[in-house]
Amino acid sequence: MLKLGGRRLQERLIVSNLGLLIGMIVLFSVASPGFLSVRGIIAIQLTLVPILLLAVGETFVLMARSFDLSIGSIYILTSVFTALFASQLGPVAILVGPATGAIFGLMNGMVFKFGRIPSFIATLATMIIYQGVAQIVVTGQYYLFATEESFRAIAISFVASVIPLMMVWAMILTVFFIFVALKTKFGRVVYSIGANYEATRFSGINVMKYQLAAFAISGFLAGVAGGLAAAQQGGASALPYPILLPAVAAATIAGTPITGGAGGPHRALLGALMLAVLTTGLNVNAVETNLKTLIFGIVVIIAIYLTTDRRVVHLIK
Amino acid sequence: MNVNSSRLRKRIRDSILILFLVVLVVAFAIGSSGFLRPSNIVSILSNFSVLLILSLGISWVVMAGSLDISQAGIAGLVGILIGLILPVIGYGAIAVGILVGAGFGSLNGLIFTKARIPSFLVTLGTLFVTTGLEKYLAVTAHVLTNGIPIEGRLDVFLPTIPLLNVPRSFSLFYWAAGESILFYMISQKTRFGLRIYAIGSSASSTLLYGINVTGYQVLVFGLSGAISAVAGFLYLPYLNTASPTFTDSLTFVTLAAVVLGGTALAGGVGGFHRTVIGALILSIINNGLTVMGLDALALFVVQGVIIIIAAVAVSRGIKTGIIQ
Repeated sequence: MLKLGGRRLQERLIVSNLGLLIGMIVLFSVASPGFLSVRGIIAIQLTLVPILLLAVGETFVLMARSFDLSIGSIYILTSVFTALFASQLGPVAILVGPATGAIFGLMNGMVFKFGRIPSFIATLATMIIYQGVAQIVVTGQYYLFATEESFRAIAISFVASVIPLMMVWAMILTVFFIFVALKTKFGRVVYSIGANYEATRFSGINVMKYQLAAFAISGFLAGVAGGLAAAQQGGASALPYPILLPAVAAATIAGTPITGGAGGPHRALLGALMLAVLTTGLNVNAVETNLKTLIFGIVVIIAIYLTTDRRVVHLIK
Repeated sequence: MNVNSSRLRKRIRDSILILFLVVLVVAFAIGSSGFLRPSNIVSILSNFSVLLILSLGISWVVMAGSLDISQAGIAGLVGILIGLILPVIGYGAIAVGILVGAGFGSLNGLIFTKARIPSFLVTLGTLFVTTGLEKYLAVTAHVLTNGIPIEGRLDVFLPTIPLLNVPRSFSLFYWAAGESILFYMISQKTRFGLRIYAIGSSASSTLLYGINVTGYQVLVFGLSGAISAVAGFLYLPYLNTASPTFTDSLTFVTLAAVVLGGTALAGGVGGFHRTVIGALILSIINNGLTVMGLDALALFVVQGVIIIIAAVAVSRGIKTGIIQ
């Protein structure tokens, strides 16, 4: 990880974010006793899983200074594919999500690199395409049921009666990708591409390989989230689901700039936790849905204010 | 790079854009006999205007090197707000709405420059705030599903020309055309326009020239907010309804029109004529596919593919440096 900002500053930023997180938890627990009950804690985790997985994936793309708008559509499309195969494959169907997701992610990367077009446009187009394919797949059925018990158990059986299994998978993957970003050569190269593309390329590194991989990771994790969603809900529909913006918010509010080269999946974990606690807290307190969106926006700005590392993000664009 | 080759490159790039547009029109004209029918052209230009009015506003922000994704939220909120207070305070409602839009825009600019937060994130926050507020107002007033009927009260702003037998919604095109010309002139002929390009190329060097960069940045965001508000207001007579959902789908499309035209997200290059062509390409793709009677389900897929082809085509002949 790049320590341009200095260790002390980094720590202060993380502490301010943790402070915000703990502050919200205290506030919501005082406001309603249901928040820290078993049901409340389960609700937080169920909200957390998809946002976390999508945010960690998006983080890799952001680190490399690109943007992936298609993760919301990949989430929907992979959940549809998973539900489609659940009746034949049983529990193995859960692998359909990550497998197809990685392919879609790779396709994003290829459109971006081989087409030599901005990733913003490339993934806007694939966002539309994947959403369209999902609708074609479910045509005439509206909802694909996947109610097989053994399949659903992968997501919704419980560990120690408060932790849904899908949370376990999400955490294992998150920890793995935090390790990849911070402790491996692969991670360092991805940071380096975001910080200075030309310098990385001229140092003899095959940047294309790494950029394609970043997009594939993003698609892969969106696919994991999609597969788990199909198992959790016992099926899937092709209706657009507003998860792109919350996921982008989670990826960025804890300090990963969209100008690349800094931050990381550990920050996405913190960001996703904040948003999951916020969403669940507002739900438990029965705040009107749209006021929730409004409060969500204000908290996003406050969190970003607290965590933007202004020394790493030398370009405030 | 010397001036001549850069100018030549610019010219090549502009002609590729226009060439692509022509190819697209010819392809659709061959694919469907209805495409070049006058009524369909009117319909293309109306939809194009809906998109263009917003995209031109955001172009200022992109040229200055920042991003604004709150436009659709602001436009939606202002539309509902005007719809709600129009029966109460009359035309004053329009002034209120535009002030609210300019206010949110300036707030974006102030938070961006004073709190030093990347503009994408500030405006993402504002998008949540304004969309939430828009829907909340709609729910409280029980108009979330049907919107607020305007009943022709704002028709003065979209006048129809008697001899021209076109629907009222086409009049939005006059506004879009006027805005295009005005902004193009400002960007090419005034000191303001020059400085926005300068800030987009390098904010720090511009600052060293003693130019109030912060002031210009706040101004640009304020302008984008005000334009969003004007768009939100003009959509009322266009639809003859204040719809709380109409702008939802526009969030990233407005930015796509700017980028597709060849204005780099890195700032400092591009221009309003590019945005016009970008928006036109998107509108023609949308309309052409529908007129060809393409199956509604396949529409999305083909639309996405053509956007990729368009982007690849217009990116040729440009030295983009880093394509992010």
